[in-house]
Amino acid sequence: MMRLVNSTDSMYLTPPQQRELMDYAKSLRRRFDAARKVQQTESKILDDALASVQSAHPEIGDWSDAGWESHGKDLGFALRSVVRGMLVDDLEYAGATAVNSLVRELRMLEFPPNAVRGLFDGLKTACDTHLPPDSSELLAPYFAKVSSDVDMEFKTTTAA
Amino acid sequence: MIYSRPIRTLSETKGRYPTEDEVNECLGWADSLPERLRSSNLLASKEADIVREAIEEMKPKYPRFGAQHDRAYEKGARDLSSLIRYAVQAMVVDDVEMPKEKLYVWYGTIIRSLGLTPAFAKDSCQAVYDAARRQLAPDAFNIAEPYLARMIEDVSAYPEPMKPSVN
Repeated sequence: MMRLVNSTDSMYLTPPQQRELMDYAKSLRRRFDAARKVQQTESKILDDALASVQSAHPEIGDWSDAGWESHGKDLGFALRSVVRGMLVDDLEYAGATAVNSLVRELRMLEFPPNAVRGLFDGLKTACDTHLPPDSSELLAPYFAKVSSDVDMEFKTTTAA
Repeated sequence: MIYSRPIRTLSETKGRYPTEDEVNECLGWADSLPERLRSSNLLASKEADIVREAIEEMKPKYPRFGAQHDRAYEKGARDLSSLIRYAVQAMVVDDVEMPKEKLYVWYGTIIRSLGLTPAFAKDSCQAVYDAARRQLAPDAFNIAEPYLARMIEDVSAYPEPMKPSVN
């Protein structure tokens, strides 16, 4: 929808564009419901995601030594960015904001790539666990984009 | 920058979830969208008539305008159409600030450089407003009214030109 409005500057919306805008408007209530459900279960989602990565990667070390508490906050910000991308129907948004900065931060701390990817996969899995199916289904494309962005970040930087 | 009431509202929610007021604001826009689109379609269908009426209203007020500027009324009609379309877009997305940020301020700078006074700009936009009110059914006009009213205010909000070139 964001792209739609920009591309129609100084023009009237065509019938297909109006239908697309109406579809977005009709979907807003469902989107906000999903966002509210994430908000209500955010701490469980984040705990599950961090726990899954900790157990899969004990080599990263003790919770506080690795700064997990700080990463939990950053991961919460990343989760809210995914939710906001879903609310405004913009796949690029989550990658462009918190996700990329978190990925780069973890790389600087020398987190292994599969641990970084595991964090975001764990986030998605935790959402699937704690949210009703229609809510996690709404978020799925945005998580898929985030995973793709994480993979691209490692490919791009490794190539460089 | 993307302009729309829900998008603009949610752009303020960086790093947090939207409040209940913000959610209600967005859902209010969604509920009103069919009416906004109906008004938009009516304005689109009446645009040529509105612009024509507005220009005819301006001619006696500024009788020398046509002689003072090359293709004055042709360009004027084109410009008024653009102003209307931005006002209509603002109405559809429920963001009264959007046209000012995207067009009106820049447009005021341009017409000032041509010697067109703020009074002239205001009269032109008022003529559009009055013509729209005559052309549209009341319910269609009422939803567009705040955006057309802002058009008058924002387009004419620039300093007097150094060398006025209109009447």
